[in-house]
Amino acid sequence: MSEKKRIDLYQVGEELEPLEFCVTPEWNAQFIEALEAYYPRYEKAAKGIPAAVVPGLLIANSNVTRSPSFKVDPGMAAVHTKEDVEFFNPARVGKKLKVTWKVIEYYERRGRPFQVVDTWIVDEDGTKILRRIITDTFMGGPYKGAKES
Amino acid sequence: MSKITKDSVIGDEVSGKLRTVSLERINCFSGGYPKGPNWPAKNIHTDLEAARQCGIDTRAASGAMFEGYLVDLMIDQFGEEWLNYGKMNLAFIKIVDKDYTLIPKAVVKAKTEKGSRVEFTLEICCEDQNGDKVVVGTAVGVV
Repeated sequence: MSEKKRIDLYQVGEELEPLEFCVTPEWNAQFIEALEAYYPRYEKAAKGIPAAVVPGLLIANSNVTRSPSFKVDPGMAAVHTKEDVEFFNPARVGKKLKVTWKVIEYYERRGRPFQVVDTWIVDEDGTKILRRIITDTFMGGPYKGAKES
Repeated sequence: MSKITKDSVIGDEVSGKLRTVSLERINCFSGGYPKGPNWPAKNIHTDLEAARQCGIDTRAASGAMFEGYLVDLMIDQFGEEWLNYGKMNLAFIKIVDKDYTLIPKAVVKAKTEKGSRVEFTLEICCEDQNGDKVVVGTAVGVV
């Protein structure tokens, strides 16, 4: 197995290792609690269609930190600064989901690096669930902390 | 809770329910699944020491939490159908520590008739207990 590369060293065009997961009712329930999202749509099947996955769970599990190839040095963090998100279909509890990440831009502003990652979630049927264009910066390790301008 | 309707006008404001970002909820969101013996995972969201090692003074609750609040506000306003076409762009502008209270809000900025339906462009944000915005952006929804 090849050694993991630190996330900030990924170049434009490179892809992180994809993640596959299947949301159980128990996992969904954990995120309902986390977000106080007590809506029937996340708890009950309706008309034979399984409950929807809490969107916050999809967002949390499509951050670059969830890629199996994600790596930072000790004392270093990837910090989410902005994003564009587009929803195409609700994800359903019990369906296998796949997340892919591709670095599409890298720039510096005021001495800080910014990495832009095109992120998709698609389900086992090939149904598009959402797309995120995520911009992260890095803090700690070789980079400045939050208070340093 | 007030709702956006076809009669809503530019400047109208709606808000979602108040959320308390407790440490327990941060752990549920960012501590991993399933809960095992080492749960919650230590990271800048869940662990003060991990945050300080990265140059951040406090735990930093995940911005994805506030994004989740805003998605639910959009679904409250436009129905579950919003998950078939909804778009948001967001900037995360302030760190949120445990026990902050946040309220998601939206203000109508533009309104466009599209056949029998009306498309609204909203300025969205979450505000903390001091009235400071922690995430800002725009979203689109159709009534």
